[in-house]
Amino acid sequence: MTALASAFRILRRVCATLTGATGFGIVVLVLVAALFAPWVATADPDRLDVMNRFAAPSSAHWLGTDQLGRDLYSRLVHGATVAMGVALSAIAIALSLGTTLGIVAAYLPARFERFVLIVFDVISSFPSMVLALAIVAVFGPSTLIVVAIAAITLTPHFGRVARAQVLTLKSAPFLEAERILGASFARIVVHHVLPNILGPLVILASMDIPVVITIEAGLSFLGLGVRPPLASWGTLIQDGYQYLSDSWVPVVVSSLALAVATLGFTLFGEALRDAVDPRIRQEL
Amino acid sequence: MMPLVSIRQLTLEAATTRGAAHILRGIDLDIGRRRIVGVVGESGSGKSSLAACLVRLLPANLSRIDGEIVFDGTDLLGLSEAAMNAYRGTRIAMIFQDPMTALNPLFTIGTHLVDVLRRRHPGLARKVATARAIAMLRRVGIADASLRFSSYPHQLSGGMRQRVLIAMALLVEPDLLLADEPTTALDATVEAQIVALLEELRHGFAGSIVFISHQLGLVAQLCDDLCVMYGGTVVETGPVADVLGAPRHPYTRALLACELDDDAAGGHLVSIPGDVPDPVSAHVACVFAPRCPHATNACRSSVPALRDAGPGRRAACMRMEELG
Repeated sequence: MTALASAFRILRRVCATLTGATGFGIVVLVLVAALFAPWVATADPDRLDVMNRFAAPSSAHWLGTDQLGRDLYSRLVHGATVAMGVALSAIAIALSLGTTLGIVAAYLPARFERFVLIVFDVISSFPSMVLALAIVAVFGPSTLIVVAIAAITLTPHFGRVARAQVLTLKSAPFLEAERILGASFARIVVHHVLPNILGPLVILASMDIPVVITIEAGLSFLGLGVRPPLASWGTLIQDGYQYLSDSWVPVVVSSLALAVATLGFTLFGEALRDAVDPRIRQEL
Repeated sequence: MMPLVSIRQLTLEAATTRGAAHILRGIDLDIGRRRIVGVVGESGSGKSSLAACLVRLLPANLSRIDGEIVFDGTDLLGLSEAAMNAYRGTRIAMIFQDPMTALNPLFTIGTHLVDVLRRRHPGLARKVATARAIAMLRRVGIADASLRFSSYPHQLSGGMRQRVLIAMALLVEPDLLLADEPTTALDATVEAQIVALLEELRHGFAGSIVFISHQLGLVAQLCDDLCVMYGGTVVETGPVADVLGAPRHPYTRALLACELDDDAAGGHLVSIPGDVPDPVSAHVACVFAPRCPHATNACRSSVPALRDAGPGRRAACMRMEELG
């Protein structure tokens, strides 16, 4: 009850600024498009109509058609589903994996803690595109691989923040009080530590969504991610780029979709960060 | 009757960059049943470490722990971690120094209290636990108890939070209650209220209390027995009135002289010359010898034993007979 109320309060504060409200509006728009793509779209995104390639925007095809006569607007809407599906699952994996590793690292003896941190550092310092090329070379391109690559790249973010949060919390008297009053280690971690460190992690998650969206689009553009004919913003830009001499519309509208979505999530994430607590700004 | 807790030759050392720090140097102490034992001493004398040993929550850099803590027939230091955990929150409870930080900011007062109760009595119905918790809040002097039950810690004042912590400890109905300077973080008027509350509550309490403080006045008011600690050793123990009425150890005498006295208003504060002993130094002499006005060469070359010093009293001074 109170959690819901405070969520609403935070949301109100997010929307109090112009940038926050803009971000929130774009986020809602993208989410609706992603969740209800079959209804939001006006046509089957994969239906070919070769007679009608590069059609100009019209009432039948709001944004026109691509090189195979597929409805561009519907493909963009379905691209949102791919982008959000990849982003949310990668973030979910990175959030749970990173948080677990971060908490474990904070409670491990110094030697093992350092080992976990070095692994984090190695992943962070390794260019994610090179990592992606290596992984795709081994497993071949697929949507699942994109999720895996994004999750691996982002896990250290969450791990570092979680560890830092636990370290500041670890010696909190109320945790010691719980121990003296007989709480088990597992209960202290799950019941007391986790809820206390979750806030900054959720904000970090919202700010990492655009990062995953661009990773997915980038890999798909290079042909290393989502496989055609599945519509992804990355593959749409790639298709449009190849036929740029025939029509400028596909490449521009799909790039715009990507840019606007990324901007929206970034604005929303930043507003959320500021809305929750100015103190958290430093902790991130 | 056997004391509830007998501590024998409890020695605690921690590894530091300068070598082993002797935090406790062979503590002997009995905690009688239904007695309130006041533990006094300067900062660094080992008071809080003694409490930490009793719940076995020891510093991470601990390098050696020796001796025994016999709690109702069981040596706590010999127990496995799981067996020790069965004592925490059932037979031993604690009240903390700083009530501002001893409660989880995300949970209501009620959640804290009900959690403690349900850990103590697994399977207790939530309704019963709630009723008991509210009754206990009332007992510790929280007026609008049912309203406060659903308050968060930040909505309460320091004094009220300390009352909540006392309520948590009392709900455990422990055999041994540790109070680690429970009034130090509070201002003077609230402190007086909390002390009055503790005095009132002790009549309904069946367990023993270890009351750690650096204020002799508080201890005199509240406790049955007194244990004076210095440099990780016990220098004097005995019934409060006897020890404070006729101290046998020069350190106890010096501490008493430092207490603020109403008639001494205008005079300057008395202090004990010298510094607290370095915990890294070896234990080869009386720890108080460097600051003791009566120290002799014998005091500086051998460790005085804790000896009988009257009915129910013990003191660790070689010269207590001569000094009277």
